[in-house]
Amino acid sequence: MSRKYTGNIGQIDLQFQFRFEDTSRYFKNWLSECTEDILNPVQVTQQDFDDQKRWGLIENSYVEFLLSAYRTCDYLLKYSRCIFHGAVFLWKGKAFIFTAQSGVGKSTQLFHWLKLYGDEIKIMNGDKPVLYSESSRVIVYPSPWKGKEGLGSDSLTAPLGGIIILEQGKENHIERLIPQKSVPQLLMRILFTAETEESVRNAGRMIEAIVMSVPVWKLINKGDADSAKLTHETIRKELNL
Amino acid sequence: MKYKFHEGIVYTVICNVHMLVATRNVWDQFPAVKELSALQACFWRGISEGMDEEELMNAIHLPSKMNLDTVRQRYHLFVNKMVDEGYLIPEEQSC
Repeated sequence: MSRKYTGNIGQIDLQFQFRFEDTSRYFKNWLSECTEDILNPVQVTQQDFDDQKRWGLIENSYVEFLLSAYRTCDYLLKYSRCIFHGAVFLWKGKAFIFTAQSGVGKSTQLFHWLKLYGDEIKIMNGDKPVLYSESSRVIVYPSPWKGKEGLGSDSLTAPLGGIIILEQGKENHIERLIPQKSVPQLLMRILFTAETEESVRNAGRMIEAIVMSVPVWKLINKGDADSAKLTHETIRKELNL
Repeated sequence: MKYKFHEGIVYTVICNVHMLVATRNVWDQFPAVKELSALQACFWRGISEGMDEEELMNAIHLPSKMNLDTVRQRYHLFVNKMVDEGYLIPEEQSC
């Protein structure tokens, strides 16, 4: 079976080459098989696999699927796009992203919003959407990487309305961050390999475009429904939604 | 004393935030991102241009409420910390 594929992610045509035969099945309808020779495909390297072994991940097709997000992001950064680690939902015509390190509560916040405001929102992507910096705005696109639960759509696209950085805490508190306060955290939410100086600078340009175009909040939260209500009310008032 | 930078460290400024970003091949040795103050960034840029301490002190624009002695102390603290953490390598050590 050919392990070469083409696809379109964030409106950019990409070519993939996989080590494992069944990696493509995790991409579902995103890829088409390619029989021609391809130059410079997006390809997970041996170092990528080796680096993940410290987290206990073995080399298999699912891991290759996950690691492909990083290599894809490296490619997309050249086109003012990136893959961003966060759960994103559509609300009042705009996309809002919960972002945090793994295990801090992105999915929990999303589930609270679904329970409380399910008639107002739609889940766009549960894990790693594509962001595109276009002039003075940022557009959120779908991606094949939707998290363990596979939450989200393969078609919903929307302008980015804001980002909420999550932290766990004993009390619920939300504050708007000036760009300078959010930049270091948000830079590490871009899924790039940081292999080269060029990729670091491209990621920096993306973050600058993002923080200069949308509000960023920090939500310290207990993971309860009240924290979701607090966020909902804060954003609604500040953005007049 | 002049210094060289450890390879794999990228100095970048995003929205007036000065940072040293570690590329992947040095992640074992450095945090992914280290923030610098504006003054530390001046020191870093001066070192990157090959300036020694005296050249830097002559070139630097003194921050408000700081005199040259204070800036010099801050410079020593910064350089010593950067050498301890591995970001800077004294030129006499590098081959």
